[in-house]
Amino acid sequence: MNAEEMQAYVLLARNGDTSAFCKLYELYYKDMYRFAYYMLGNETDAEDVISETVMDAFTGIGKLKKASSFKGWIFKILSIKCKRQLAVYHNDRANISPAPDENTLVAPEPSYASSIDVQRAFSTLNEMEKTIVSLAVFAGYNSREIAKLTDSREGTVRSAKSRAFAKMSQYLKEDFA
Amino acid sequence: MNEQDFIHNIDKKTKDLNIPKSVSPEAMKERLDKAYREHPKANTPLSANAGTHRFKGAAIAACIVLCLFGTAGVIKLSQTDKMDTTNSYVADNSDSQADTESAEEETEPSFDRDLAFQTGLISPKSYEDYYSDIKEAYDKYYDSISTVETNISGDAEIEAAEDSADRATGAATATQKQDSLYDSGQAEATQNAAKDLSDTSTAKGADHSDTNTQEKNVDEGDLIKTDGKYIYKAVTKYDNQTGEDTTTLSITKAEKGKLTHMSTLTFQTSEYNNSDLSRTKDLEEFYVKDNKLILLFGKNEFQEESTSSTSIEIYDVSDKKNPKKVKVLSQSGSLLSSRISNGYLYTVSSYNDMDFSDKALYENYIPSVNGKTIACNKIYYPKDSMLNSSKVITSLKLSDINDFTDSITIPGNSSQIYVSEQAIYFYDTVYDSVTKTKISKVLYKDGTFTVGHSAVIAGYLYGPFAINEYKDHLRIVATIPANNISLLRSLSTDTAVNDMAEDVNALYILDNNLNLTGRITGIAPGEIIYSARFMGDTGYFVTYKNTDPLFSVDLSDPENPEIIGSLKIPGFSNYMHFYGDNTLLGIGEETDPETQEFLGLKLSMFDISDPANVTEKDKQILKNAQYSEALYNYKAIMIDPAKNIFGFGYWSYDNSTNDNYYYSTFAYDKTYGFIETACYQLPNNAYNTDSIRGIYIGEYFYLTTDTTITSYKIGSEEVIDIVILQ
Repeated sequence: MNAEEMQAYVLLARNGDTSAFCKLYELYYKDMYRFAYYMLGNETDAEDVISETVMDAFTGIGKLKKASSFKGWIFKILSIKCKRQLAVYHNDRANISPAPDENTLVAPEPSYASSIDVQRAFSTLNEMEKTIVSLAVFAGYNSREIAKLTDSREGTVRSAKSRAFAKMSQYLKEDFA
Repeated sequence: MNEQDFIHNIDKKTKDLNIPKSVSPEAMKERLDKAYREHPKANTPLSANAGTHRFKGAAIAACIVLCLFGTAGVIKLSQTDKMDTTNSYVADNSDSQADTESAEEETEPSFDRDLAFQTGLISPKSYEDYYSDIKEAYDKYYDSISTVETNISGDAEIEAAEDSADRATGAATATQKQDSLYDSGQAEATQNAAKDLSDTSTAKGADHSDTNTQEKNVDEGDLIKTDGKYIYKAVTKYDNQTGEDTTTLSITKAEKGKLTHMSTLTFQTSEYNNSDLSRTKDLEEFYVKDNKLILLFGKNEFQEESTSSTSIEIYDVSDKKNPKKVKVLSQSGSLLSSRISNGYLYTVSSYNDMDFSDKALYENYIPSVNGKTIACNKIYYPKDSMLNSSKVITSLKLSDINDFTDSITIPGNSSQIYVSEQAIYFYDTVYDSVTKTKISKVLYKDGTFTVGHSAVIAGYLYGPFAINEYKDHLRIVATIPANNISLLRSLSTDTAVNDMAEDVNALYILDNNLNLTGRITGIAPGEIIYSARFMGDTGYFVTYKNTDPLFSVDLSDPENPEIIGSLKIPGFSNYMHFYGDNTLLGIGEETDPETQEFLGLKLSMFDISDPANVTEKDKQILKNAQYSEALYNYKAIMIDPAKNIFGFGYWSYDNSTNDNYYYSTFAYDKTYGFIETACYQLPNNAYNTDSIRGIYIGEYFYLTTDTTITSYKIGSEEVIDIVILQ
């Protein structure tokens, strides 16, 4: 899809054309799902936040100022939804038992199911690190772009990213050596 | 392993994740259609912006920025991330030149004066003129892209037209804002300024550390400051329960290690309207000067469209227990950066919220300072270009804070600035067919601005120390990336047009008017620049691939810069600081020259007494130290060569001990090399490394985290006092 087509689809979507909107969504939905899945760690909630994101994005597409920023814009909505969901988890956990200390997690035995490894590696990250890694890996953004998307400073993003990768590499060692 | 490989690996590992049918585009369409049928009104997209032919001036720049910076190792370059060709500020004639030249490895990078800037920057006679000029440029642009839409979206356009008609009617009845030409009273202010002595050196307490800055006499804002008697520290805390942030700024008296809490200012960072975020206000940085606390906030309001502004709040802190807000100033656009130089605060913001839908609503497309739109003679814009984004620059005399001394607006997307003692340089990387950096200059003197020239160079700047002004010349080192690294593809042909096989580096010297006087190109093919530092007639920079050549360059003849030395050692330095007369400190990473394996953080001391024969006199490796904020954020480093002290926080990670955060202070001795004078372990949850800072006052060292300030005697690990930041 080139820029002109994209602009046209955004225009159509603004006027209520759901199939035009879904053409745009189709470009990114796989990465969006991966993003949500690794952020939240489970399928059901990932599906839910994706649905909510699509609804909000379609309803609010009039706010999108430029077609070419559709990707950043929908990922931003998605990351806010994930953030909310994480806060829900946190509250639930706080109500039931004390939250586990992230630093006491011990690296698991090497496993060969790569996707599970990644999921485990993700579980060692705090919310900010998760968001940053997800945006870097699944949305392909660099530190500067992530800083824009998450309204934080580039240095903060870079340091969190570096920390996160170092933590994750403990879990992903065997094929990263 | 480098970060790109890491990203690539995770990407690969997760590619085959099973995507449930429920999130497929088809399923979503069904869901949307259903919702739309049931509640047609509620789910109709807001069509305020519909219709490309409608003149909707735009924060195009804000959006472009994201696309533009699809950079170093974009691993998932999808088609839609392509460079937007509408960015019209870059002199395009450099393309063809660079393209042909870049076919060979020993590239002669392009250099072009930006003609649009040189000849085209004007000030409008009236806001109406400004409006018409910009509108014309937009119309041209829309005409150029409209063929696609007119074919597909006939109906859409009719509706859009109706919609815009509705809005126009609404706008006509809205109260029309009075034409408020902004009179700065600047002549008077300038006169007064001449009489005032620089007020930075008065009322000092004990000797103390200052924020580590790019330029010695140009202060930069930070989230911790000391005036030698008190420590001012701002912290933002995220509440996992409520999801809200709160920022506090505490003032703590620090007297020979004894800490006394004086007062705390609290700022709410977000406001909600029925659970929707309606407003945010973030403390970005602050200064302390002469019993004044100068706070810079970035503000966002989310209504139908979001708008950004910058707020400058000044507190009188003569009574440390009762800080009093004495002044609030504001300017349009989100805060980009600020400096204090010679008694003036200079604040730069990025303004992208232009809305041209109604000519009469000046404040919708002319940026404001203190609620007044900027006067025509202070607006600079290119007549024939589409104005995507502009910068608002203000100056404020700190001894007369009643109003800004001067304020101007200039075009540009720049996201980085460098401020020398006489000019503000804006630089911004453009990922076109060849990666380029556009530099423009605004001179300042006693708070008054003069718009200077612009230039475009090939390549990108690795960071803030890649650019430096000395004796009216600007020296820059840049890396020109190879085609497979950071190129966005040409929109029309979908092919990369930069054929360079390897990254390559260059050094440029520009004169006062940003004309090129000399350059060195084709430096270290296959490597990229990691750090640089200039002093007087000599420049030093580090490139890296397997080993770290530290290049020294003789810059004494601006027309003939010359590489006079290169020292090859393992690893590389990310940050360099002149330490004493003939030594240069490097803080970086040690790597195995064969395997590239990361071996820890490294301190190097280079003997630069003979720049042509630089040697690494001493080095120390901090084993297990994985990362330090110091590598990327120079403000995280406490350093004072005169007192022979430096320090920074770092993070160490190994299998046995898990996470550990430390802050170490060092001294350097010509005989004994580096001496770690103290090492402090930080709490394990010190995730927020931004807030880990050390400062010294007299003989005492104060270590701060996001929750505490702890005091020690310099070089001792014995706690004297501790306060909890409230």
